[in-house]
Amino acid sequence: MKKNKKRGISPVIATVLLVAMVVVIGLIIFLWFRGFVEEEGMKFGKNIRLVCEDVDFDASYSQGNLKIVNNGNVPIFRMKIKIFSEAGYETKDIKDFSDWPARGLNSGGSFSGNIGGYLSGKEKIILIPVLIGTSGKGEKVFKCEEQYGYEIDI
Amino acid sequence: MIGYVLLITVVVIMGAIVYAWLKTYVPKDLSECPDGTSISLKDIQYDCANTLSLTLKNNGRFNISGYFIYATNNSLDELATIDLSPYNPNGENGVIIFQGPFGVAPKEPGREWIDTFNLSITPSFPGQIYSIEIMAMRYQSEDNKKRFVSCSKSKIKQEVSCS
Repeated sequence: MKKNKKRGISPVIATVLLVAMVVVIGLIIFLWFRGFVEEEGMKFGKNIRLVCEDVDFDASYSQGNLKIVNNGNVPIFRMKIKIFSEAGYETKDIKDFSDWPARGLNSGGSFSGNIGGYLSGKEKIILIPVLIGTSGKGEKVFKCEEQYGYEIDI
Repeated sequence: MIGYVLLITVVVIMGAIVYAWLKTYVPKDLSECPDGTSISLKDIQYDCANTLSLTLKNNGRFNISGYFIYATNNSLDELATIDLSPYNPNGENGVIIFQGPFGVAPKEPGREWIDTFNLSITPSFPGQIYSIEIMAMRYQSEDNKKRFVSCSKSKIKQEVSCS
């Protein structure tokens, strides 16, 4: 009868290996998960998603002229316009068909632009604010949820 | 023993990282004007050409450092978006900031003053003023920094007629 002479690793090394593996796997999962969250960015020291609640603006549309006034203390970097027609809807950036200020509307700022040519035959629009925040990769643009938008019947 | 030490250290470090990250999700108030900040328009003198003169009053309970002023030039515009600040020596980018010998000089509660706008400065005002909108602003200290804060609740709108 042969005697098995193979010996296992010591309990200390096994524990160290186990702990090291758990730490490495934990770090990998954490960094991977954080990648999703960092996409949104930060503004005023909090997640930019929460800043959307503080956006406060008025808008009006008449005779082809769209007017927007930023009453709040959150600068509005851009504005997405969700345009509804009988066929459905499309979302456009206000910059695509107007001379929206390059750095957006600061607190108290106003905008006026003629976009009547793009909205003829449409039913309504929803103005959705877009903010700019910071992330590890620099400035990051974030579009707020539609619930923070401003609806105008055309 | 080493295993326990490592495990606890790692758990503490990861806990600190997750705490710092989750803290960004806790809502905190953005600096805003205190309730009771107000500005009123006591008188308007407009010659329907080049000069607009406003008598304003801080009728609130807090100092104000300036105000935003926009105008409309027809009755169909619901929102005033024509910037009147370039027509006043203390104005820029839509806002008039009260200046004193040592920089910004806020107006205290109860104070009345007159601001004049020379509308003939190039580019001159397009057409004739129909209405004006005014909203107070303040500088507020926050974390040892002065922050520019607009007071949306103090916004007033007034139609303008020739006098």
